[in-house]
Amino acid sequence: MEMHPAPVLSIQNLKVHFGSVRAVDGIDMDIVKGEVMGLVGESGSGKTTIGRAIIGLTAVTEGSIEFGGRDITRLGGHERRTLRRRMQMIFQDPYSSLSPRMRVSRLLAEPYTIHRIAKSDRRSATELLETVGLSHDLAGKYPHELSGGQARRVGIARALALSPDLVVADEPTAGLDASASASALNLMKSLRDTLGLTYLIITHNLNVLGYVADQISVMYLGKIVEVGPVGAIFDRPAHPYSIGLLSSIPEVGQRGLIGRKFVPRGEMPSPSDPPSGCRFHPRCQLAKPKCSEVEPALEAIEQQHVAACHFWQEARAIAESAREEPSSKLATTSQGDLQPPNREAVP
Amino acid sequence: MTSPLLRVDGLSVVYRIRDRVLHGLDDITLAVNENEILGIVGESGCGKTTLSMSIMRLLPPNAAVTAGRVTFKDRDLTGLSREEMRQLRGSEISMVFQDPLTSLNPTFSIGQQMRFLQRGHLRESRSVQVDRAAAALQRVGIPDARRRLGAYPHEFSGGMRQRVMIAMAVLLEPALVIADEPTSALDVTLQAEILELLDDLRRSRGTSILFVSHDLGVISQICDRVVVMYAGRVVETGSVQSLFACPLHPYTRALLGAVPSRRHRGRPLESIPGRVPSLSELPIGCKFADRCGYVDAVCLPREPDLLQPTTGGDVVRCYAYDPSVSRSASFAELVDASLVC
Repeated sequence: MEMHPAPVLSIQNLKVHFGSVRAVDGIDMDIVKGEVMGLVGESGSGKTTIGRAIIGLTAVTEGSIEFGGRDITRLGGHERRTLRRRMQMIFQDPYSSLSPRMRVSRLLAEPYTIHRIAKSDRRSATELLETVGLSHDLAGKYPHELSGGQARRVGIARALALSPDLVVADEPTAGLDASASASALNLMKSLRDTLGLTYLIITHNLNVLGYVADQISVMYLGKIVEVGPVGAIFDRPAHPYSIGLLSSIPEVGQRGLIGRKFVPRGEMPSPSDPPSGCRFHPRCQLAKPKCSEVEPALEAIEQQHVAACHFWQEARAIAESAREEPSSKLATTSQGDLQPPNREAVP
Repeated sequence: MTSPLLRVDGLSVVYRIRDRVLHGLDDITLAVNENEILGIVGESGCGKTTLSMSIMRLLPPNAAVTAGRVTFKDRDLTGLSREEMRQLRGSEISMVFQDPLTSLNPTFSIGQQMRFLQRGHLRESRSVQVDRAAAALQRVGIPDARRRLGAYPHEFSGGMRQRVMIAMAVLLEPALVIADEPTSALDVTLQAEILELLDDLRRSRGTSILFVSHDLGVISQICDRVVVMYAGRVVETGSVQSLFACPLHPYTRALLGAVPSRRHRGRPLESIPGRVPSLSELPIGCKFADRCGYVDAVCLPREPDLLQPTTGGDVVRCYAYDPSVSRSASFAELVDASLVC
C-alpha cells in the first residue's frame, strides 16, 4: 500500500435524496491538500448537489463528509459554523450571489460580520481586491457596475476572506467570455500555488478541468463512474461515458478527435427512476445484456485510476483505435487537424 | 460565381439610450453564400446579436440603422414594407435562439405554434399542415412526432426543445437560418447532437446558416467561414481552416490563446488585458489598441481599414498588414507569426 497524504475532505457513501429523486446516490471522494479535484458531468448528474452538501446547503440523506477529521454531517450549531469558515464556495452566478444593494467593500466585509471575526483579524477590502487582481477603486462600486469577470473575482475574494482550506467552485467560468474565463482560471490556479488552497471544481466543461485540475471525477446520474489523474482521464479514459464526454467537446481547429461514435445519444434518464444495472447502459454504444443486470463497481484499472464499467478494456481499445483514424461526419479534411491554409502574402 | 444569398453592405446601427448614443454596429460588410455556414464570433457586446436582429429587422425601437444595406436574394430588406418583411420572416429567413423556453409560447402546444407559422404563410388544408409539421419534427429526430405535436413546451426536455425550435425554423424551408448561440445553454453531449443536426440540414436541404457564437470550438466544428467581430466591427474574416490555424488579427490570436484546449492541456491561458470598450466611449483609432500586445503609435489616431493581405480574399483590420505603414518591430513579429505558419 503506497502512502497517500491524508485527505482534507473525505466523502463516504454520500446519498442526497429529494423525495424520490436520488440526486446523489452513494459516492466516495477524497480530496488531498493542495490538490484540485474536478467533478464533471452533464446537468442533472448531481454534481452541484455534492458541492452544496459539502458546504452544508443541502441536507445529507446518508453517508459521511469528513473535513478536518470530523464528520460535518453530524455536527451542530457552533462547531459546524467554526468548521464552515474553513470551506467556502464560489457560486455559479456571481450577480445573483452578490447583494445588489451592497458596495463591494461591504460585500467583502460580510463574511467577517457573519462569522464575528475580530476587527484586528480582518483583511481590508483593498488587500482582498489586490489578491484577486482587482483595483482598489472597485471597493466603492455596486455589483451592477462590475463586468462579469470582475464580479466573478469579487466572488472569489469573498470566498478567500476567511482564509479557507477548501474552496468549492461551481462552474467558475459559466457565462464568462473566453478572455475573462481564462483570467479567472489563471487566478484560481495561482491562488492554489501561493495560498496552498484545495479546490473542488464542479463543471460540465472537461477542457476547463484539463487546464486547472489534478484529479478528475466523472459523474453520471448520481454515481461516480470514473476517477483518475487529469492525464489519465484525458489520454486513457476507460468509461464509455467519459470517452463520450471527451468526444463531445468541440476543439478549436480540430474536428472529431475521437470520432462521434462515442457521443452518448439521447438524454440522461430521470434520477427518480434510474435504469437497472449500469445506469449508463441505455445510452451506451457498447451495452451488453450484463450491463442492464449487474451494476458495475469502481475497479482499479491502473494506479490511482478507477472506473465502473464491465467492459472498460473494450471501450478503451475502441477509443484508442478511433483516435488513430479521427474522422467524423463533420470533418472536411481527412486528418483530424485542420489543414494549414493556403495563405500567401500579397506581394 | 453566383451572387451570395445574403449580403450585408456597410451596415451601421446606433442605439439611443437617454442622451447617449451607442454605436452598436459600424460599417459591417459580409456575405453568406448558398449552402454555407458562416460563423460570427466575438465577446459579449461585440454586436453579434445586433447584427442578427438587424438582418431580421427586429431591432428594438431605440435602435436605428444609420447606413448600409441588407440584400437577400437580390432584394434590399431595408426597403421592404413591414408586411413584406413579415412574409419573409419564417418562410425565407428564420431564427433559432439560445433559449427555447423563452422563445416558445408555454400556453400553446407545439402543433398549434407550428400551425400559426404555417397559416401566416401558406394556404394549405389542415391535414397537409399536420403532415408537414410532423415531418419537420421527425426530421430533427423527435420520436413519435405526430403524437408529440399535441405536447406543450414544458413537456419536452432541454435538448428536445431546442430540436423543436429547429424544426419550427426549418418548417417552411427557408433559404437562410440565423442561429444565435443555439447550443450555448446545452450540455456538450446535446450540443454535439444539435451541431450534427444543423450540419445535416445544410447537407440535405442546402439551407445556409448564419451561426452566431462566442464559442470558438463550436464555430470551428461547424462553420465554413468565420467573421470575427470586435466593438461592433469586423476585424477579421477567413475560412475556418485559415483563421484558426493562422489568425491574422491580434484580437483573433488573443481569443484563441484564451481557450483551454485538449491538445495544449495545462499550458497557461492567455487572458486579454483590460476589457471591451464601452460602445458610448469608443477610442478614435483601432478599437482594440488599448488591449493589444502589438500596438504601435500609428494605431491610435485613426482606425485601420479592412485590408486584404493574403491572396484568398480574407480581410483583416490591422495596420500591421498595411504596406503603406512602416513596420515597427512588433508589427514585424505579428506578421511573421501569422503569415508564415
